[in-house]
Amino acid sequence: MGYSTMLDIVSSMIIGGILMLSLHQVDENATSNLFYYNSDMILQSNLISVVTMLEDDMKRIGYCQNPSQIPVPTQAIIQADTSSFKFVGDVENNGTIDTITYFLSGTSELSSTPNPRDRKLFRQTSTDANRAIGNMGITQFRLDYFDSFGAAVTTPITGARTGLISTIQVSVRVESPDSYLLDYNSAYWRQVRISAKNLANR
Amino acid sequence: MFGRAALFLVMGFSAIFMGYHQRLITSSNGAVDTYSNYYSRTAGQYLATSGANLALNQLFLSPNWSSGYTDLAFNGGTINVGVVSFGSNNRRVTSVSSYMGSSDTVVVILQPSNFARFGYYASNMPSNLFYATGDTVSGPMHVQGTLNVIGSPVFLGRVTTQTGLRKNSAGDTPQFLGGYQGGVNLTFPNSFSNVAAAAAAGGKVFSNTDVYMTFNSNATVTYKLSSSGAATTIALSTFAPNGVISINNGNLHLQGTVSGQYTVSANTGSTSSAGNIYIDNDVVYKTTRTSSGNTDMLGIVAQKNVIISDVAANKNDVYIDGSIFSLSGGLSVQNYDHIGYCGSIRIFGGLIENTSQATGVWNGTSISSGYSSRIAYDTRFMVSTPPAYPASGTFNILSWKE
Repeated sequence: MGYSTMLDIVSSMIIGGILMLSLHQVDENATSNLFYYNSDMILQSNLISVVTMLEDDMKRIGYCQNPSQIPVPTQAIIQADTSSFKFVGDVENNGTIDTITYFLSGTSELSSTPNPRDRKLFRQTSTDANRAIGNMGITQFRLDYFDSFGAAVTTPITGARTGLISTIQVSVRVESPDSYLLDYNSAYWRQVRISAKNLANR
Repeated sequence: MFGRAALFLVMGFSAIFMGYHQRLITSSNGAVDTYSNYYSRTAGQYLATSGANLALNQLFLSPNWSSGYTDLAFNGGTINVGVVSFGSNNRRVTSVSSYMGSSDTVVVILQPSNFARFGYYASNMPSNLFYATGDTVSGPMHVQGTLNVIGSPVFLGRVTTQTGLRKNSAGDTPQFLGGYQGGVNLTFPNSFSNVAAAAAAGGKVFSNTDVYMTFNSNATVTYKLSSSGAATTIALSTFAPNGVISINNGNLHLQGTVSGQYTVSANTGSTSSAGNIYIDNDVVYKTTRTSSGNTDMLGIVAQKNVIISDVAANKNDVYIDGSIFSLSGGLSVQNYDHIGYCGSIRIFGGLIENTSQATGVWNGTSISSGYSSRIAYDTRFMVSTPPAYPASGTFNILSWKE
């Protein structure tokens, strides 16, 4: 084996190695990108699902399809805290007043996922006592309340003080249940909305 | 050979990267589509809400407006609004939006705005009259002027004012447990001729006389035309089939237990002292106030004042179930400043008055003569009213469905 042959072999090994490393890097990047893009799509889909449900429910606070059954506006919100909220309204639009409760579980409810921060959001109704809204990767569900002058109302809010609530600020953060190299995708949504027009109707 | 292999290698990698990129683009587009759809949906909702608000504005300007909107171009989308009348002069406004393929519907039901829906309404609020710490107002409240507060009065219902809120000092903290809104103009009517008209149409009318009327719990009424006159007892279904009783050019003296739904009124005429309603004893519903089965309802409508009579029966609290309306005066107490302490005027319903009247004398620590006032709002008045009770001529929103 001559000197030039050895050189060819060594050169081939170096070029092959570089090629292998490049391929590995490409694979790494491809996997990473695919993970982020896919989880981002799922994440945002989850966020929109949660937000849509929240928006639809909040619009029905104090509403009833049967006008004679409309709840007293100042009593339509039963209890309000930073991560829980209970109100009455005809969310099914069937003339029957429903009692809806949102609350966030502890992180132990989703200890099976690699993400240590995700929790279950529960939506209890009159007919469905303990329904979790799946695993949407919710890591933050924050409710802030404001009176008709825009001043924050201190929580928890119970009894007649619930009538103080004029607007509700909802903040939701979702994260992917799993990570790539411990980097979790996240998406955030916040809205200050008039809690429900029916609260101020009469 | 190596050239061909290199070509295959490049083509192979290109195919792999094309597939990979296609996958990334699909995911990326999916995320964008999700938000794009959410945006379109939200924009559609806002358009439908805007359409409803436009229609409501037209209805408030012109209560008989019913033409709606057809394909109204608005903010990049279109709105169709329909207005239909139903029931007892109610309106249903349906606003349907279309935006980038998304559609949404808002349905608003309006009812004629009636003064009975207020727990308290004052057409004139004297500038020296303050709601102070310890005062509690139940039910919706409106002041056609400025609401004066000192300390921390509590308002349990929604409060609206025409010209705002005036705190005695910056540190005052009124508690609006039903919310507050300024800039609401809800004028007091000049008359309530509809009550007399309803009484003439299917109720009972007395003219040029005072009437002493006692509601009986068996749905009859006993009345006489003077304090010492002969009493007549008759079933209310015969006496006033539509439940509206009007005293024209006279005063009404009222007491008893109400079984059914009625409105009584007293109007002025040629006699300057006419148009008052005197409460000679308790006027209460047959059914317990807070009972869910309570269908009894009373409107007490006076052109001048509703006056708590200075009589023995009223010396220890007065109970009035019903919504009180005083066109040019208010709720007052006969000889309030020298009758001694008589307890409280306990109203279950509402008080709608032109101008607040004195009901007692405050000596600095307590009421030394007359009455304190307590109004517990009857929430039924939010959706139903005594027959022919004065209305404002506009609408208020009964329900809003998005």
